[in-house]
Amino acid sequence: MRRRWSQDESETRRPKDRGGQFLFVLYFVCTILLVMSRLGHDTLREARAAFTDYATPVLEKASLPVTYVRRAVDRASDYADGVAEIDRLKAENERLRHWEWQAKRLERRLAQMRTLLNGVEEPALEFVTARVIADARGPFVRSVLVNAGTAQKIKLGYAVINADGLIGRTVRVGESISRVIMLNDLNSRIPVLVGPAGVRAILTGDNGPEPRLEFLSDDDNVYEDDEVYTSGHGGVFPRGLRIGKVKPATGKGFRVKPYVRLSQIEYVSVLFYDSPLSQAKQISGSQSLVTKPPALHAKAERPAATEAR
Amino acid sequence: MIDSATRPAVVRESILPSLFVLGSVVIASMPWGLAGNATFILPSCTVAVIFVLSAGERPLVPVWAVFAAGLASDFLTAGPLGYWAIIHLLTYSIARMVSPQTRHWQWIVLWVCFIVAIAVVGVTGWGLASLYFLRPIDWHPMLNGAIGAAIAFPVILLVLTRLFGLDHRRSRAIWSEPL
Repeated sequence: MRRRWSQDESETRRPKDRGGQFLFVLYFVCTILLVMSRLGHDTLREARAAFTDYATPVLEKASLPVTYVRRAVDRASDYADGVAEIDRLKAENERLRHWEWQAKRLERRLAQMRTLLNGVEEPALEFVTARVIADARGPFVRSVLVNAGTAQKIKLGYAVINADGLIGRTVRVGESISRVIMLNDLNSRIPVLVGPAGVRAILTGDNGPEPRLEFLSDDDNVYEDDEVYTSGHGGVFPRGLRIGKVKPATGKGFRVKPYVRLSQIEYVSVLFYDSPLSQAKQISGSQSLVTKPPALHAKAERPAATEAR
Repeated sequence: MIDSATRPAVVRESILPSLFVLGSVVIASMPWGLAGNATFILPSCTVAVIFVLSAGERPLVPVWAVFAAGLASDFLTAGPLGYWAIIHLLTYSIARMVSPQTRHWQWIVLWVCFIVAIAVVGVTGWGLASLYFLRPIDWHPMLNGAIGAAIAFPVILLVLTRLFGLDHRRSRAIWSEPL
């Protein structure tokens, strides 16, 4: 005899089926979103920018107690190591006073040489200081959100630094919030110079704590503890921003230990640096900066005929 | 139809837990200054919260809230949309699968069940991320996150039990067993 579902059983069975179907639909939606993200769909980019703009007030308020907690923890650890910290700071102060004198002397010499060579003076960089309000680190990106955007005249691609050195650059800018991709992010590529010899390389992030130096040739003179700084090539970053020191990588190659403690950033400075190429394009309007070379096989104009004497 | 008699129950059993999950997503995205390898600990704790709130006889947090929290996490972390949403939905699904049995379990058995669940979720998350980048990504942060969440699970279970009065819901529910 066929069993007939009672009315109670069918009523309890229907919500469960609907729940399972709804869950399946959500999984499907997630898969579609993942594929669209992989393809880099513009709609998702705009939706993300709009969401972070709306979330700014919440993130700003929520991050304040976190900032106080971190400062309290740092202060407590400073008190715990009070005496040792004072000794360390005294020694560092002595070294820095010596370097201050050296820097002033070199500055005077540089100004004299610039005058002799009639060199072009690089303009001073303006900047705005912003606070980190969200730490957006995951398996895909190493980035932070800062509470400054187009309202503070920030644009895409501006370099972001703090007192220790380069942190990264802005990759998305909303009205009052910007996303800063860090120099150890998987998508970060920074042209750099290494050491006193100024060896050219590309600093490549891999989401690890120390990015790699790539495109070095075998005969390049790169040594451990060499200074790494931005080269300015490509016009993305101004030249001379300090990044870190060279460390040997496990296996072959070199990595760079950044001066900035990328996991503990609180305040950043966003440099208003527009690359010279983009500035020139703005000045010249639609005119191309690249002049076409004369055609190789164009006939040369015949000189005016002169009577042979 | 929600009337005045059932409204407190709806608020306590659906809206408040959903807001709690969303709040844990926001807290996980705050700049706590954690080291690079510890970045997954707080998001994994959110996964533990979803597991606890979903593993009862009737889930306290609706599936759309779990999805929305995952999507919010995707927006905040600048990762691809849908990644954390899938992770959260997977956690919810695993919790719902074991929910008929949890009525007879001690809390320590639920803890072991969560450890298995976070391992499955962690491997899936690593696989999905590696597929997205088309190369194997570093698994250390994910492992550290799973371990951190597994260690924090008893505290999370205790807090949520006290917060949402879970031990008053059913006489034979696991939450009524003293921790």
